Amino acid sequence: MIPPRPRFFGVRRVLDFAAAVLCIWAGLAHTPPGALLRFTIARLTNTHTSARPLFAYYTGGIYESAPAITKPLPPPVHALSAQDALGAGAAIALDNLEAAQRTVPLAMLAREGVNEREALDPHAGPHHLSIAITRLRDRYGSEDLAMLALFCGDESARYAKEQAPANAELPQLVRVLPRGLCDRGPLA
Amino acid sequence: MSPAQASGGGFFDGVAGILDKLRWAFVPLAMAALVAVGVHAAADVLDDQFLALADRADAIFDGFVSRWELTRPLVDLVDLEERTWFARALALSFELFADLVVALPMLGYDEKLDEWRRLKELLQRAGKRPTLLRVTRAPIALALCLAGVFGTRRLVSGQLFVSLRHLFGAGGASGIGRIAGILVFAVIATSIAWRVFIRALEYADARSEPRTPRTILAGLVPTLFLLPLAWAAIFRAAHWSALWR
Repeated sequence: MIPPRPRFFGVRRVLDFAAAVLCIWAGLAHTPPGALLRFTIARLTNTHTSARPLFAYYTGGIYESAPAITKPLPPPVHALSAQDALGAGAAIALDNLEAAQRTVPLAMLAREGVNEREALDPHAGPHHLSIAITRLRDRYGSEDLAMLALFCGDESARYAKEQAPANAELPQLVRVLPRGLCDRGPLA
Repeated sequence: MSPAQASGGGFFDGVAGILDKLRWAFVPLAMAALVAVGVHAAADVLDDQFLALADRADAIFDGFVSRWELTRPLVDLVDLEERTWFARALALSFELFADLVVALPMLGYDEKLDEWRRLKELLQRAGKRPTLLRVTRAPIALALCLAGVFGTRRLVSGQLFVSLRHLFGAGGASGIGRIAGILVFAVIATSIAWRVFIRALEYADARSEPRTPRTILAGLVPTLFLLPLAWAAIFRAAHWSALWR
């Protein structure tokens, strides 16, 4: 005789399967062992894989995907304050971006009253950027969020602020950003 | 019941029946994957700690060698690139080791009809005949698995936000992501996560008999490696407050 099925048998089986699919997806797509497995399968089947290098799975990949600085700023004529140093760093990163990738940072700067010419000026740019970063810091609550907002936009900064613990630093903020939301986090 | 409802119910039962026959494969896989996600979340936290340690060690080294003209060039010996490489390599080693000793055994999960009775028996045996493995392995696996549930919730919530923000706006997509995240948390916790605890307890139980001095202390070295990960999983990777954010 076939034993009677337990209550909600069908619903429980479907939910178990859905949960399993989510776990397996997360494990395969977002962990280094998953990347290793996908890489091995791709090699065996001679197919393409979107698996990233293993170290890129740490800290949102900010240390692995940071772009090389090819155009440094001229050396400052006087010692920089902490705020101006932040502006100088942002200016270098902005200067090294391709024109298409500057859209979001320039839009954020325009919102804070700094136009494109001022932002990209090799001498006065760092000072203008540090003023904009101060305004962004006041708006978002921390320097780390201000830098994230500058390079990734308002939406990413708000999302990171919502998801990360209070007083989170930049690596933690970048870590909570889902893939596809902003690929300029390493610049911040 | 209408014929349509009847046929719908039949189809649903059919699907449920097929999934029931496949459980032996996907449930252990999901358990291993869930632990792997949690281990990664914990290793990602440890990575920051390792980097901070490397920074401090480098600062001490720089302070020491910069005292003399002769050794001053050694200040540039280790830069940020090397320190981040070291931190990531160490974190990756911890992660792969933890996957090997905690996630991989999950594939041996064999579902029983009365899991609660099995859990009760295992817990009773662990209480009466404690060994290091019986006492530590299941709580460590549970901590890592909890971080895995939080990690999966965050990934689902984030992906929904990215996919839906153009359709519903940032506020709408964030709200949908948040609700979906809570549902995902609840479904994974009640379907998969608790089985991880049972399997870890069962794995430890099987390696704790016969009870000799050797089996009592078996797993000491892996436990020492797993404890920092469990700490990171519980106190840094699992954000309860993020459930409502």
